[in-house]
Amino acid sequence: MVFQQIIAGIITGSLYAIVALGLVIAYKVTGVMNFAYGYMGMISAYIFFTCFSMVGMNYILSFFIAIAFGSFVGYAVERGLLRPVRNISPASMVIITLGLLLVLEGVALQIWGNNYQQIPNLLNGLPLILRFNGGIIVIPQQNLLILGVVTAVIIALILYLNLTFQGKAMRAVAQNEEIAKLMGINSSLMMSISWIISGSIGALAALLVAPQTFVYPDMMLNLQIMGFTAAVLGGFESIPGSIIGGISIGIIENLVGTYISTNLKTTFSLAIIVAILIVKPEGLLGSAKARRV
Amino acid sequence: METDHILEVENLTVKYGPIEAVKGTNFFVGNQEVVSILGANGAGKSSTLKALAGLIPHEGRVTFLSKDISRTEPYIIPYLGLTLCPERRGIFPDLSVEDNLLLGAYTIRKNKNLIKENIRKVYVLFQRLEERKRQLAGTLSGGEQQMLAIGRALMNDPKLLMLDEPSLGLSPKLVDFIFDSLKTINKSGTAILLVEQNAMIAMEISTRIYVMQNGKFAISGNTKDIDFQNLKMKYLGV
Repeated sequence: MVFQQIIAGIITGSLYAIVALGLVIAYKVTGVMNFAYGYMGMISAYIFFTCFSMVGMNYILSFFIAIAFGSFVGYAVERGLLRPVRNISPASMVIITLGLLLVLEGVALQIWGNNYQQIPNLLNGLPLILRFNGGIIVIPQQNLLILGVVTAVIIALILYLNLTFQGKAMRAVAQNEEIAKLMGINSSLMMSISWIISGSIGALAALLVAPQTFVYPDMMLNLQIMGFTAAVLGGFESIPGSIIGGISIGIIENLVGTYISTNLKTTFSLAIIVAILIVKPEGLLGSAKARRV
Repeated sequence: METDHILEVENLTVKYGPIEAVKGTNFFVGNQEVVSILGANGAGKSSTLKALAGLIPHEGRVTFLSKDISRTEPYIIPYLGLTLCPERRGIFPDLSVEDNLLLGAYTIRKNKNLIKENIRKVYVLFQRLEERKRQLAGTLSGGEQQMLAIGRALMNDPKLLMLDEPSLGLSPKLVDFIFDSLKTINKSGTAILLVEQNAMIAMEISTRIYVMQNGKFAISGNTKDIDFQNLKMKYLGV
């Protein structure tokens, strides 16, 4: 049933989209492609697991503690690890974030081991069932939650960046840090804020996907790769591009999985994306101009 | 220090590695004055302004409104009333014209009424900007971008406006318009420190000039005492 697969694709894709958004906002403001992004989120999923399953705290409270921890990790990584080496080449910066990925994976293994830890869905009620002539679509409540939360985050982020003074100041820093300083904008503070936002979005993505993937050190590997792909497909600089990129990859992947081969769904979707990028190297909504880095 | 000097610079030195771009200059800007630093390309003019704005490391003492700002962070300086309108305009191309102006008012962001009033003043000065306020700044023509850069620099009511080559790349007619606007801005009470290669137009609006050569001032004085023909041949290489 094609509609069922498209809906499932939109839901998977919405997760890719917020991962892409988190990557893009940090990249636009600080110029760093964060290859440790998914793994930073993974740590927050373990924090949730610890609070909720081990300590026995309430679900919502554990959720917010984990998100707050994610924003702290974002702040700490930018301020403590990346800012002191800001002026090194982009290639070295990539190596630093890849190193961080390995460190985070090792830390998680040391603290929590490599067992698959289960965390429950927040919503476990009956799925939403839509019937129409000749078809039926079933959407589990957790997936509705994912869609709702992701939509809310995207709208909040767009409003923040376009309507608030601070959001505009952040875009100014992304466009030209030196000129932004001349306006009286504290660029360092904006960089910290961008990583705090990025870190909390990464934690949120990990928490939303954790009931399906289970919590383990490499739980975010797939989401991180697909999030990167979504960002690249969208042009890596564009917020609408990331959203469209994420959703399209989700849909393509689900259709390929259903109609061609489940085993090949990642390979096949990535091949389609490579094909798109050969035709349009700047991405769907990227600009062909000189880019930051 | 005399109290009517809004800006006082002593022994300003700027180095890029082993190269000294500015070699211990001394100058001042008086209240409500228009002062120009003239000179050929590479004489150290832009480095002087960037150092005053805190963007590049420098030695020496910079006093603005009786406050030592030699070590002040660049993003604090506009809060004090000293604003640089940078070389090549430096507008934010992916933001609208009005958002560019708003960011100029970042230091007064709590005062919505003052921002509204200042935007209105900028639109009176540059009507073109009002017609294009919703457009992305990157789509403006060179002259309009210069108007936007100046308008944006005025948004936080600077006491001293520093401008780096506002005539660069503009047609003579637009240069005249921009410099007429600078005269208007000065009349409304803002002192101006101007860096220019176009000596003739700069001298038309300046009370005093400094001529820079290899990082030092070769001559300085009241504009009316300076022989333009002599200046051109000897120092500006035109």
